[in-house]
Amino acid sequence: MKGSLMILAPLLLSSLVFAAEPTTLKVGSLAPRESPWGNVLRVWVKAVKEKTKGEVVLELYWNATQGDEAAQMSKMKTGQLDGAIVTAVGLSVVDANVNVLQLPGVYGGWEKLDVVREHLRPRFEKSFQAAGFELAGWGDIGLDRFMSKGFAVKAPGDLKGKRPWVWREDPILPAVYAAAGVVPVPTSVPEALPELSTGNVNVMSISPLGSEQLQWSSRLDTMNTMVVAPNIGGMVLSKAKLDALKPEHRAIVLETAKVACKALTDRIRAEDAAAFERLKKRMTVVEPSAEELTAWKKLFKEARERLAKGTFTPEVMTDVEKLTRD
Amino acid sequence: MRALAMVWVVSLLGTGCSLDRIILDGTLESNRKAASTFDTLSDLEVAKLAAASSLVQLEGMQRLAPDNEDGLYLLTNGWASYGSAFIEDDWEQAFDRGDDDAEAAAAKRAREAYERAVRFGTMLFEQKKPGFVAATRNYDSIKAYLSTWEKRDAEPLLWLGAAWLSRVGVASDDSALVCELFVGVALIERSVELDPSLSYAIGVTILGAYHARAPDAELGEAKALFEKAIAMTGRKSLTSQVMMAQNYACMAHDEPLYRALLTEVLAAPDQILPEQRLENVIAKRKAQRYLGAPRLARCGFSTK
Repeated sequence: MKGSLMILAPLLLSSLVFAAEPTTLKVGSLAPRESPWGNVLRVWVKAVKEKTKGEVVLELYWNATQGDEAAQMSKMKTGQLDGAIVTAVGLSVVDANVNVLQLPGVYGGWEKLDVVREHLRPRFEKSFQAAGFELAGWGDIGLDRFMSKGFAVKAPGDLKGKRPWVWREDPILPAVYAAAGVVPVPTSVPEALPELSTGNVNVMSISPLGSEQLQWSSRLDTMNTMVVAPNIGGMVLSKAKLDALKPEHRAIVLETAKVACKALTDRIRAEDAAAFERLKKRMTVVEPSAEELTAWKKLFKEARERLAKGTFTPEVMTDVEKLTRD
Repeated sequence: MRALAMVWVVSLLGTGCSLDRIILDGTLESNRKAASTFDTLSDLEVAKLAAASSLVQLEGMQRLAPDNEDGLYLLTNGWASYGSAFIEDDWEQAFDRGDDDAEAAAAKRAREAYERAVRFGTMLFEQKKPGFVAATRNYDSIKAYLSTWEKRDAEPLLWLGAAWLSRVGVASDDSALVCELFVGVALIERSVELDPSLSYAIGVTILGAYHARAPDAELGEAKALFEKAIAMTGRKSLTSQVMMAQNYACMAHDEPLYRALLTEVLAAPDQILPEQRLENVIAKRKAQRYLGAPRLARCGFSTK
């Protein structure tokens, strides 16, 4: 009896060692730990730890400690990261069609975006899986609106002669400004605040929450209430890493990720709405007239036509136009 | 001694005569003049107890003399400093232990301390030059309002600004506060314009920390400001090096610089700047902590 127990001992020991060594999933984010995004993601970390009884641990890398979005997506490909929470810029590294969810002038708010995104979800999930990723869920950033300094942007003509900012990686807004006959100022995010301060940039399409978080709203004084486009993001996980987990753990990670993304979406949409209300009190508010809205629709349509030529798969563009038609 | 002081304060409460007010005003003025001796303490525990006790007494005096500018200034400075030196210490320790509840509780305490500092500072500003609250609409309006402040106002500008920014630092998940960060920045910028050397260039250091608030902020500007502050103090006021490591080097993912700055702080002689002994004791304590595994990991640095 004693001898057989001795034989089992190493096995027991090895299983104890196995239980004591959790599987760690490294997930990158641009968001700070102490932020609306961080608050939700920290609950997700706890949930995974509790539900897997500590066998799977999520290690969040905040504040772009794993590099910008392109770097994080690249690190996922090489296995240095197992996940990333990114904006459309990061998502479009895998599938450029994701940007159709940010097309100007077709959504007007979250409702139509939800319809289109749900319709296209299987397609995106498939394209992400083909590239070795699981699109675990979406996480929105806000509804972009025109904000300016020293003048109002009521109609497209008001952009003439002005200096609109675009994020260097953004494929959408340059098409809008091209249609308006305006030359935008493309910069990285860190360069935007100095450009705004010097007046080299005097108009931007940005979500109220984003403009507050980046301190840009303090340099702007006028806001058009019209929604230009939704600003979206999502959570991507490494398929290989997920597939290497026990099936029940894989399911837990994905289920909790979906819950976290839903919570993130709800929280950020509410935060953006609150930011919009705050900015309405700080800025001069412009409500476009019916005539001005018609002019914007025409401009956005022209921008979408430009984007349809090569940027997106034609069927995807057709789907979006059909689903968002009034 | 403290009991005697309390009796004195209570006795003032009952009288309300002008002589008492003269004595109270004189006491507050003397407190303000003598406040710098606090910075020469080297025992953190003594400093913590003394600071808490002083704040309670100052609040009592302020109630009796609500328009006394020295009192309002001392409370702005006092609560901002207490939050930064002592409550944030608890906050950081809780983070390092992985104790989320204690971390949240300490963050709440720190926020409350900064809220008090901001409240007293706002009262002071409205009293000195009405229109401060209305001027917080945007960066241009606050800059215009602050342009009339003069060199003698650099201190209140500095401490209200420090409290304003620190409040966001411990509650950065509150978007409504983040939205008003520019007010704190404008206050510090104006203070630095008027007197950059104040409190061992702490205003320049704080601006450096602001510009390093995120990886996508103005890191180049942050680096230049930190280097300026460190040069201005001859590398003797160690807070600048610690803040450069914690903010700039961490956000720029510059591990060698991070380690070099903190190692320099730890190696500095205890008496490197006797007038700033307390600040330097706190800086060394932070440097030790920031070289620990939880802080290194937070910056994405190797913990081995």
